[in-house]
Amino acid sequence: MERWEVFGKRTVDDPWTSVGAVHAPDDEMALLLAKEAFFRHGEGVDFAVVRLADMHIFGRPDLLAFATDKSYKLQSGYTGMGDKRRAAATRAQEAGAVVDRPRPVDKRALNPSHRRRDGAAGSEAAGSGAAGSGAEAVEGGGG
Amino acid sequence: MSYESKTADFRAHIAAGGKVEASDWMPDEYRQAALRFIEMHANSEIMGALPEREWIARAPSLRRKLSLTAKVQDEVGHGHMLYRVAEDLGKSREAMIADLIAGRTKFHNVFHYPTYTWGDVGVIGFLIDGAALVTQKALLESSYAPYVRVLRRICAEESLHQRHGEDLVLELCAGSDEQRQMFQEAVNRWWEPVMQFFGPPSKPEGDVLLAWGLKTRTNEQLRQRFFDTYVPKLWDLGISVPDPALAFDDVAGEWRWTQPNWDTFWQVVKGNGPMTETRLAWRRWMHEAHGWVRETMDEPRLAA
Amino acid sequence: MIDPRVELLLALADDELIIGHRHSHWTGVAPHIEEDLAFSSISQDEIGHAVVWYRLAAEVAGEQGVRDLATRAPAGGDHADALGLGREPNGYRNAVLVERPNGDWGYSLARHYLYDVAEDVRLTTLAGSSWQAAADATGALRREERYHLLHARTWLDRLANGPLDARIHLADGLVAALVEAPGLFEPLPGEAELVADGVLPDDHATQQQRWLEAVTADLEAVGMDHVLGGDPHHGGGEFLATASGELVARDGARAPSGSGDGGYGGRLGRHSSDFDAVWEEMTGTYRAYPGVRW
Repeated sequence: MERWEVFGKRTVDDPWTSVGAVHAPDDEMALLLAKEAFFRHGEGVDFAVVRLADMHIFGRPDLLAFATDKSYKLQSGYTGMGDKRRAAATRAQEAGAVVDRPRPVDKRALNPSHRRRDGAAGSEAAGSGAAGSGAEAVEGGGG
Repeated sequence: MSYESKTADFRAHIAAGGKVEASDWMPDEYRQAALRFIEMHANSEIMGALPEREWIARAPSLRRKLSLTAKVQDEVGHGHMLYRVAEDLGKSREAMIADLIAGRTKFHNVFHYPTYTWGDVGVIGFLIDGAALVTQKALLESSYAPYVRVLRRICAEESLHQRHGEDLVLELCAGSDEQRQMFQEAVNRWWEPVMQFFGPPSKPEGDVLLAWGLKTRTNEQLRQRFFDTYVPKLWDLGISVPDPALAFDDVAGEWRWTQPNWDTFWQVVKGNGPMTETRLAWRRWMHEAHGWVRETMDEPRLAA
Repeated sequence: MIDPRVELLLALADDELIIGHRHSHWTGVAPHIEEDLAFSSISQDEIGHAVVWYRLAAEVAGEQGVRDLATRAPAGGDHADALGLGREPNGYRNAVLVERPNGDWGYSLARHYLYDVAEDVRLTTLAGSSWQAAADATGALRREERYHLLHARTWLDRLANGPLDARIHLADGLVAALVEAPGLFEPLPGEAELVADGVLPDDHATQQQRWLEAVTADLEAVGMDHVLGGDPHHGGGEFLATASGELVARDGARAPSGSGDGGYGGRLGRHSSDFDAVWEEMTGTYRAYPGVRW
């Protein structure tokens, strides 16, 4: 007997999502059976069946895996950001170029003096090495 | 139920934080505003590919060549996903591309400008992508649910781009005097367009996108968030910003800054930017020269 | 005298770099948005392959050898960058075919197809090399090559079985690219030695024959084999040549464009004026700021 892949929608606008499969002789029977196999608890608003043989399956896991170095496409390809930030900040200090203008207190600031303003986050931040912790969240890090 | 009362219910749904799906009933004004907004976002991704792709050919190392190509590719991928979302609001991708290249629809101001050095690539990758990430993260709260779904993937990729951009900038800032100067000059060139990117400080009551919950933050809120994250980073790298007034006001709890020339901004987004016509003409030419490829894709394959 | 193994690797690497560079120009402006994404990945793969070969070439050549080859590269810099971006124009060993501008999508696609069949033949050959490091390196490259071939053949089939206009664009592209494709198999300096040592299990003439057989079979399968006779628009007549084994490209009289010499010269560092433009642009930033990190 043929296998039918079953796709459901939780709401009208959900994308089709695979929920499982049924064995049935034709599409009518597949729909009939899939309803109670997967939707008997009131899951979702619609579903569809596709004959497995009608699915165009890529079937080439070898082509989906990276074969050569593709680290430039991944977060992990950009490593040592903390060290790079420190190196660039040190370079700026050596050049006497650091801009010291009023800014919000930032516990992760590269320049220690900006972690201590008002004494608020003083010793804790200065000792935490937070600037070099990788600071992975580049955006909204000022929190 | 009358159109007016349905609209009133819809407004109440939005006001209560409700989401909207493509097949839900929506007022014409909402549909039009959502379409226009998402279409412009998609256009901007596609047009944003152009200034950066000029540097794929000129990248200073093979690693940077690869990472920049992959990044521009992602931007095209964002355009692809966004056009798909916009289509469901009632306009075909072909029609959206046709309007874009004919200059009938808009794209972000920052993609109307030329690039001169690898420093510009740094500004685009770090500051413009940073500005885009600030705005796109805020849009995750949008009332239009299909848009939010693709924005999740877009934001994930954008944070990779942001990191790619920062990595590139850190290398310049830790490098030779010439490299530092290259980046500083690029920041000077781009600062005003970046300020304009967020749009003029708007009155919330007059903003149709805010009213429909398509956006939930004002231009100024987003600009302030951008300052918080990026200005201290630039300063610590010894990179100044060409706005002598820029400083955080402890008492007010917000950044003080100088308004750019908003007339320039409006001129640029209306299609009178320095590179608008060149880039559109290039895209138009490529599009028209390859109409045969799209026709081929629309035709059934002949029987073998 | 450059080590023949280095000549071999530079030929491979430079082909990959330059075609990857040309392919990457489609990123952002390809004729179909989904295809833009696919073709960009292929360009990235090819440049990645170049890096693999440059690194192996640098191992063979050694620090001084890299300096000798890459006269514009700073001391102590990345070897792949030195070889990829730091040589004089006549130091590049790529075939003329890959340096040509992209032109029409029909040409780009035809070149991509002919090139990737050639790359497949070359990598398959090299997989049997007596030089283990080179043979080992082919594994990952061949895995990526499968998608390139799938992509190229799918498009070939789609265009060949598309509307008349598509067939014409494809045929024009194939004819123009076929003329210079033999340059991909131009014998290398020191080829005899490479073959004798088993580094190159089959010489380039043999590989070219294999390539031509594969291309002929594909073109026959999609009803486009008339282009092998150098005639883009007619399937019949006296110019129709099929798998004769004779290379039309060697006959300059029938070449519609190009150098008229089968696209030869690249392996000796002799390039067309199109390469000057590639070199100026591709190496410009690297050359302008010698010795800095990016």
